[in-house]
Order: sequence, then C-alpha cells, then structure tokens
Amino acid sequence: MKSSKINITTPTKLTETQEPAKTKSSKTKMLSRLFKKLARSSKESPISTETQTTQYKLTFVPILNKKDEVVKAETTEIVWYDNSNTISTSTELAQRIWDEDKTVYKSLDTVVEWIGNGKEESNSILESYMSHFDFKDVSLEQAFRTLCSKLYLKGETQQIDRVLLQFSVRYFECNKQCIFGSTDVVHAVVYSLLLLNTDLHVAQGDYKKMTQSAFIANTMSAITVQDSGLSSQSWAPLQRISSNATSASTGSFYTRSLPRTFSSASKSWEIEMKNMLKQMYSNIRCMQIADPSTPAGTTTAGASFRRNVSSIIKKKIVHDVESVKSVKSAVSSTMHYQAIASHLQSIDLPVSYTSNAPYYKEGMISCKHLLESKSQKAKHRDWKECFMVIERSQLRMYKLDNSTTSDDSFLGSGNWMSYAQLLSTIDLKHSLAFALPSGYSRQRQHVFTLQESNGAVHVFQVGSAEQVKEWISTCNYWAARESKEPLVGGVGSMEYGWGHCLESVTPCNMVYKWQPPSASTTSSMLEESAQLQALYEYVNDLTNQLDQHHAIKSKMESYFTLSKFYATAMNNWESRSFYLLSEIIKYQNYCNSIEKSLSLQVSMMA
Amino acid sequence: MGANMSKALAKIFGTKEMRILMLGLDAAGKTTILYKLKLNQSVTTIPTVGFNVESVTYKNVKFNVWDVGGQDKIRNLWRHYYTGTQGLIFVIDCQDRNRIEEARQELYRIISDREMKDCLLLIFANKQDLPGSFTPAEVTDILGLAKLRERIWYVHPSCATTGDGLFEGLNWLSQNVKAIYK
Repeated sequence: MKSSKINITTPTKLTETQEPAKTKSSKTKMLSRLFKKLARSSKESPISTETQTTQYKLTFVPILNKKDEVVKAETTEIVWYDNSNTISTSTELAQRIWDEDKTVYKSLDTVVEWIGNGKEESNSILESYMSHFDFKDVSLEQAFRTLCSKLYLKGETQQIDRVLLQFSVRYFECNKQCIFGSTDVVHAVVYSLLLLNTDLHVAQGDYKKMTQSAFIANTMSAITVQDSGLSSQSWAPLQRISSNATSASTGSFYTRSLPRTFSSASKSWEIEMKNMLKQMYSNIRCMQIADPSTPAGTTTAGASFRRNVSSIIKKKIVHDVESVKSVKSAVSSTMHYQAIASHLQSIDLPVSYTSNAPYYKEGMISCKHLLESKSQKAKHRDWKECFMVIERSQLRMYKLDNSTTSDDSFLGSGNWMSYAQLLSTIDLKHSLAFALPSGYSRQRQHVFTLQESNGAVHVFQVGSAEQVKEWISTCNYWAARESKEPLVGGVGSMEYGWGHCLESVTPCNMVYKWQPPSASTTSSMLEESAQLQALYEYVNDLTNQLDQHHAIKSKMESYFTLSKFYATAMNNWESRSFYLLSEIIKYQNYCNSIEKSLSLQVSMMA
Repeated sequence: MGANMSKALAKIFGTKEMRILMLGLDAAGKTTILYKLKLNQSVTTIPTVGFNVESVTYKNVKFNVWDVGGQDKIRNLWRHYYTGTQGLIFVIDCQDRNRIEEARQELYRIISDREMKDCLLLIFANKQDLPGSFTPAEVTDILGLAKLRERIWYVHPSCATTGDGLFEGLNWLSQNVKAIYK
C-alpha cells in the first residue's frame, strides 16, 4: 500500500521542490524518473520501505544541494519522507530528530536553531518532537534535565525560548494536576531554571552569583505576572487529590469555600511553590544541567566532577594541539613567501622578488620596546638581539638558540625554526614605520621606529641605511594591504564641543573629553588595486573631515568663550585635529606603499 | 607563568569588570556578535546548558556579556540582570525595515526600567554590509534617540559576520564607563 502511494505523490511533490532551483529542473526530472523506477522496484523488495527511502534521500541530497545547503533539511527530505507517511511531514521529521537520524540535521548543535526558528512548519515539528516525551509524574526539574540531555539547547535566545515554551506545553499536558496550574507558569519556572544554570555554571567573572532568595523572588515575581492567581486557585495540595481522586474540585477543602479561604489556599500554594523552588536551587547548584555530550548514566552527583576532569583534559589537549600547530605554522612560514605572490596584482611575479622587500623580510635586528602606549613607557626598555620576520601583517621576533648545534647549517638552510623561540608578535595593521634620519645615538646610526595603532613604539637598529629602507617598506606595505578603514557614520549623544550645541542658543551643560576611536581589528581582504582605491577614498574622507573641523573652530571659540567648558572643548578640538592629521599622514603613506608596489610589479613584468 | 604575571599586572593597572546586557529582536545578530567577540580570545569554552553568556577582555576591561531575552511574559526573569548592568548593547538589524518599529518599542520597554536609568546605551546598527540597510544616522532618527536627554548613547555601525565595528563599539563602552561611574 505504501508503495502505491509513492507513485502518486512523488512527482507532484518533486515539482514543488524544483521551484527554488529552476536551473536544475532537467536534472531533477531525470532524477525523479530514476527514483520512481527505484520506488517501483522496491515494491517487490522484501527490505522495509523505511530504510529504502532513507537510501533514496542520501543519493538525492548532494546533487540538489550543492548550491544551497539550507534546502537540505526542509525540502528535499520531506519529499522522501512523504513516501512512507503522507499524513504529516513534520511528524516524520520530528520522529527522525527524536531517533537522532543524522541525515536530517547537520549536527545536533543546529537542531534548536532549526526547530526553534518560529516558522510555522518548524513550530509543528517542535510540537510533534515534544510529544515524544512522556513527562507523566516526573518532576519539572527532572523533565527538563531529560530534555537537555536529549536535545542540545544551543541557539539564539529567542529560539531556545520557543523550545522552552513548547516543552512547557508538553509538560503541562502530561501533568494537568501539577502545582503550576498553567503552561505559562511552567514556562516561567523552566526559563528561570535555565537562567539559574547559566548564572551558576556558565557565566564567568567576579560577579555575585544568584542567591537562593534572589532566585525564588525572581521566579515568584515572574509567576505572578502569568495569568494572575489562576494557578493558585485551580491547584489543590497533592495529597488531597490522591485521597479524593475523582473530584478534586468539590472534595477539596480549599475550593469548597473558595471565596473566604482563597487567600489561605494561595498562601499554602505559595509556600509549596517556594519550597519546590528552594529544592530546585540546591539541586542545580550541586549538579549543573547536563547536555547530550555528557556520557549517559552520569546523572549521579559524581557526574559534575567527572565532567570537570574530562573538560580539563580536553582543554589540555586542545592547548597542546594548538602549540603544535603554532610551531608548525612557524616552520612553514619560511616557505610562505612563495605564496605571497598570490596576493599581488601580477600573480606570476618571480619568487626572487616576492621573497624580498617590500613583500617579505627577515633578518637579525636589535630592538627596544620604548612605549607601551601613548603615555606609558614600556616596562623593559633594554636593547635585545632577535631574529625578526615579517610575514604579511604579522611581525614576529624570535630568540635564536644555536648553542646546542653547530653553526654551519644555521641560517639560510631554511631550518632555523628548530632553534627559534618566539619572543613576541606585533600586528602591523594600522601601524606606521619611519626612519630616524639622524640615528638613535652615536652608536646606533641606522634606526627605524614602528608606531602601533595604540601608540606603542618600538625602535629597531639594523646594519645599514639600505636595510632600514627595506624593513620600513615591508612594514608599511603590509600595514597598507591589511589595514581596514573604519566603518563610518556612528552617531552619539555625547557633546564634545562641535555637535548640536553650536546650533542652539542656550549654553551647553556638559562637554565630555573626546577620545580617538579605536582602529578596526579586522583585516582587509581586498585585492591590491581595490585596496588602493579604498585607501584613497578614506584619505579623501579624512581630508574633508579635517577641513570641516578647521572651519568650525571659530564658531566653537565664540560659542564657548564665556563657558566653563572652554578649555575642554578647545582641547577636544586640538586632539581631534591632531588625530585626523596623523591618520591622513598614515594613510597617505599606505597609498604610496601600494603605488610603489604596483609600479614595481609593472616594471618587473615588462 | 607569563599569563599569571600579565594577570597580576592587569590587576595593578586597573582591570575593570563591566556587566553588559545584550538585547535585541531575534535574528538581529546577537549570537553572531557574541561569537565573533569570543573568537579573538584564546579561552576554549566548555559546552554547557544555558543562555549565551560570554566574557570578553578588551583593553583592561572584562566585559561579561549576557544575551537574554524571549517572550514578554517572562521579562521579569531577566530583569534581575538589569541591576548592576553598566552597559546595554542593543542590536538592530538595519536591513529588516519591517521590524524596526518593533525594535524601537522593545528598546524603550527596556530603557524605561528604573534599573537601567544610568547605563550606557550602545546600539549596533548591524548588517551594514547588506544593500539598502539603514545608516546609523537613520537609525538614530527612527529610534528617536535625540529625545533621550539624560542618557549617554552611541549608535555604531557594525557587520557582525566580518566582525567590523564590534571592538570599536566595546572601546566606546570602556572609554565612557568612567564618565558615569567614578
């Protein structure tokens, strides 16, 4: 009977799913024919149709979904599950999620994201999924732990909340007589439980953890907001229900004389509720809610301990792997300059050029960390010998230890990394390198400095003026290539002296100290010439800003002339003016660097 | 040892902790923002059951960012976290023109709470990379921020998927937390 349905439903359903991917229609048609054939042959097959349909889907999915993976779970697979059950696709999908059928979702992590996204079809999957749970006579906390150990509650807050709500519906369905009295109250309590678990076990930092009394007060306040009072009215103490199971309402002492003793009923309800919350609090504090990754059967108190140990081990492994990785990447770095060519305009530039300034640079150098930030000297300001490498926008300093090996195979063999110890790295983005023409001191003639975006300053000494030039060009080239101009257009309420106050006639009542914005932390991914274009535009933009800033000065002076904020406002003006000017100089330098590189490449390729 | 040393130094030079609430409609980009901020950190997170909460250290300030929210009915529950919150990050999906009014109402519902009276308001005008998205200036207009007399706010453009603008926003928070909490 099932297979006869296949023949009817498949073609129509398939045409539906073609709509999003029209270009592939001929292919899909062919496929559908093939599947029909397969389906017919399965009529005779003794193997259960269910496994058969799963097989069809597996062949079908990769072809249709190369372009758009999102379709995977929702459209294609529905088609094939229609075959065995034409009643409701969401029930089927829910069943498969329940069965942890890995073909229906990308990973368990993403299930909540999917069934909690609030769309109609997801809602019905969610509802159907929840119906698999039997929470009859299970405490709410235990029921929630069961849910969490089955479904990984990971997603946006709103998505998680939808899952919680549906869970509450199901819980209340199973336990109509429970103390909570309504789905909404269950929802409030379960949300509060999850919040508590977050507070006690997930969040880090030196903040005050939620106390028991705060938890109870918080939850109770949320409960009372729900259909106010209803829950306490319909609820009768459990023992009474059990003694008079058939008519809890008429037999109950509380409900019989409802008008007068209502307050006492709600009072005892409240006490019961609070006791339960108290219990929940201590349970959650002793043992955090486990997720599906926790091995089964660890619901004892020892679980959290074991968990911690395993996570420590996991952490350590991760750490070790990372350090291995970093060593590896360092080793391979010497070879990387060959790959640098791929970042240049003329990709087939010979390696002899890409392995040199301004594209790559390495060598021994003396360095000194002068300033930690604009106003703070560095802690250790002694000169250090090190081996320095510039690889794209990362400058790395190594300490070479060649005491244990013979010197002959040292530099130039490409194997120096085995003796190297990484001292520090500097991000070249938004930095600017420049030469000190007259040297640092009489002993240190050939010197250049590097200023980072946060104001930190390093001084480097090399052997010759030629070397200085090469290092500077390499530093500035990669800074130019990977620095990204900030997103513009931010609007704020704080008055620095040049905002809305200038248009009003009343005196300004507060002027804040202006501080330069921080540089963008992301790297530019643009091609060489596109990056140059972006930099030009930014320089133009900065120049306009500076012009406007200059134009406004006289207006500011006259507005603030009698104000107590005169000094603050004018200082702000000075610092912004200085900031804009230094940005222009820096970005102009960047433009020049890339222009030079482009013309170098042209001359090389000619 | 190096890590301990730098921690100790950070203590001396005044590491601050700031509790930040991050709110906004769903799909505005909150989770992506949290994930992006976290990505630059070296700490590996242990999978745990709970809401999205992360701490991010940036320039001597440790931001404890809480992404809470959900249905209006249970608002009381996360109100608990309003107390002691120094900064609110409200995320706006600048491309979703249909829901900006809903976002505006949500924002005012939050900031009109007594506990949130003094906190800094950072609005991420998110999804700036998408065509036809509102600019920060437009967002300021639509949200009617100019009328907020007593509050320090800033609308910062951002693109959560690339991470653009996120740390710049945190930087604004860290610069100005001093302005109100002395």
